[in-house]
Amino acid sequence: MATREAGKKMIMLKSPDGMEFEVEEAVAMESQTIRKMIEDDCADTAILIPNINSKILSRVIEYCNKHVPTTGATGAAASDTVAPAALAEDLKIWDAEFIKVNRATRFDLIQAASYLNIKGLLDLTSQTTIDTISDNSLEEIRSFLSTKNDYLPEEEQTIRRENQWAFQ
Amino acid sequence: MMLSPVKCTAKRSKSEPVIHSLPEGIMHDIISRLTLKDAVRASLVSTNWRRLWTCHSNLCFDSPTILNREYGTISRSSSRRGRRRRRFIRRVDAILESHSGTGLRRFGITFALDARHTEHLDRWLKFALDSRASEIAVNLFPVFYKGFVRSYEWEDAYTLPSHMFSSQGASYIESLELVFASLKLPRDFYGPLKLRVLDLQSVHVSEGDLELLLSKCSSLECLRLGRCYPVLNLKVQKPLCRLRNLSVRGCQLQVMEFSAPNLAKFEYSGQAIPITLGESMKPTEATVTLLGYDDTLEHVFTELPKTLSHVETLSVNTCINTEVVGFSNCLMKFTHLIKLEVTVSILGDSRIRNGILRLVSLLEMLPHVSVGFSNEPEAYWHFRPCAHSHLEQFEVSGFIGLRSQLEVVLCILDNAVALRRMSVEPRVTAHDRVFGHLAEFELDIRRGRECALDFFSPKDYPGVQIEIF
Repeated sequence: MATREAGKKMIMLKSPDGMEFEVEEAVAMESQTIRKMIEDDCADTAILIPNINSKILSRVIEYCNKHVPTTGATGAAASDTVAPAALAEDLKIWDAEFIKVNRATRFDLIQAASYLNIKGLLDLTSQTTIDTISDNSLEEIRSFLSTKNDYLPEEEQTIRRENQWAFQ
Repeated sequence: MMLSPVKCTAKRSKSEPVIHSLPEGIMHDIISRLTLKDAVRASLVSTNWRRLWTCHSNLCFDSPTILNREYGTISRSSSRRGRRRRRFIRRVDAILESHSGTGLRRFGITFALDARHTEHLDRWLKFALDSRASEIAVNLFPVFYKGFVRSYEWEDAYTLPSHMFSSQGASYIESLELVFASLKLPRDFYGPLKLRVLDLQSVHVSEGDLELLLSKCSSLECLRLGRCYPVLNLKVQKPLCRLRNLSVRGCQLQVMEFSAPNLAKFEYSGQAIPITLGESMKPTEATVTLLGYDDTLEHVFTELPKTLSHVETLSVNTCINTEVVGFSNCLMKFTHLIKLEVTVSILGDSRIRNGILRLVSLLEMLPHVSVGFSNEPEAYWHFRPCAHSHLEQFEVSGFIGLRSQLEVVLCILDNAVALRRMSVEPRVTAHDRVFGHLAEFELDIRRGRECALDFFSPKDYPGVQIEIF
């Protein structure tokens, strides 16, 4: 099967705006969506990734390149390699740097991560939003999300009453 | 080659990206990463957010979440308890009323409820099953979790609806955890279930039903049974090929018979009963606690190696009676053992040596030892890899200078040629850990220390680092 000969095998990813990215198969397979296609043998030379523009796709590939397990001679050897603690720490710092992007890019990345099914990237990109919602007041959340409160006062009262337990 | 296009119905404004322009599925994923409480609070952010929490994938209802009360603060007043219970039920009902059921993964209840609340519990479970939850956890005994359920209290236990196991929703359950409930299978139960984890604590279940249930769970990876009642024999004919972890604690079992060829970790606490875990079983880690006041050392020597001959790490709790003499020759050995920890309670007349001296025979079966005794009396050991020639470390605690203790230690010092380190601790570390230090032991401890200083002289054993505490 194609997956076992990883290592050197390359895959072409195309964005809808016409850019082409040549990546190692192992890197592309960080995406479960692409992995499934390759394993089902329905990927030939190039895969068109709809709805993800080249700017975002290149960032996603950058992430996968960094996070792919250290490649040995074969795909099997790669999965046996355990990242030492120092490497994990290094990755963390790299991730923190990687996610320093504006909101539009972050949302695009969330969407790409979700569509391509890259768990690590989805965790990373949605964590800021989750932390903000958990730790802040409604006003702060709204300003973070650039959202306006469009509830009528009585609607708001109803919600508070119906879910009293959550607002105690 | 092209992937199918992303379904994205939300409108997009280039200048002002907003989070709810993300596809619904992603929003549900994000909202489910919040606690249920935070998710509900977030519904006030804007009208777009109003219904988002109703797809939260993790509905776990407990006192801190629903009533803002921590555990361990039970009110003495039954009327107050009743009021709280009614409030809990009302709020859970209201939440389930609003929740869409979509995307539910885990459903949990942790609250003291019983047979009187069957109607509610049935309704909640139906919701979980209809929503195809893959994890269900029902703990109806949260505060007294560690205690035993008294036999008369079983009458109050909530009985899970028997049809639940035949329903379509049951085939989606991968993990089922129950505490203080009664489990009965329907007569026409034929499974199969996809359970990977089954955890039953203080669950009333019959021998037959449990066997039937287990025989239909061929994907089971982890099985934990604790204080289940009134199970007598645990026999499963059909092999559980995926079972990796097995823990059976405090069940009144007479026989345990499994075929679990891939078991990795085994834990047992109870009477010394025959245990069969199948032919090709290779667990690497086992903990066996033999309860009761009979001498169970023979069981450790002869019965355990039959099923646990391949373990690498073994922890045993056993009981020795000083008056028991000898034991049958053991044919099987723990051939792969690297580390052994034995905690021994010593009963009987302390002047008699025979019972304790039997411990020396462990060296024939085993590797690197560390021993400990106590006045409680209790011995505490650690063993490292096989045979006298491998024993490098030996620790004794509870050494109070009994003649038999002295002889065991001297025997090891004389025979373990690879011994590098020996430590003798007169205090009963195993006992102290559990009950705290008792002043009555002071005399024994002093005697033990003096005896150790007299007999274990570093001069006599130059290669060994001897520590006396």
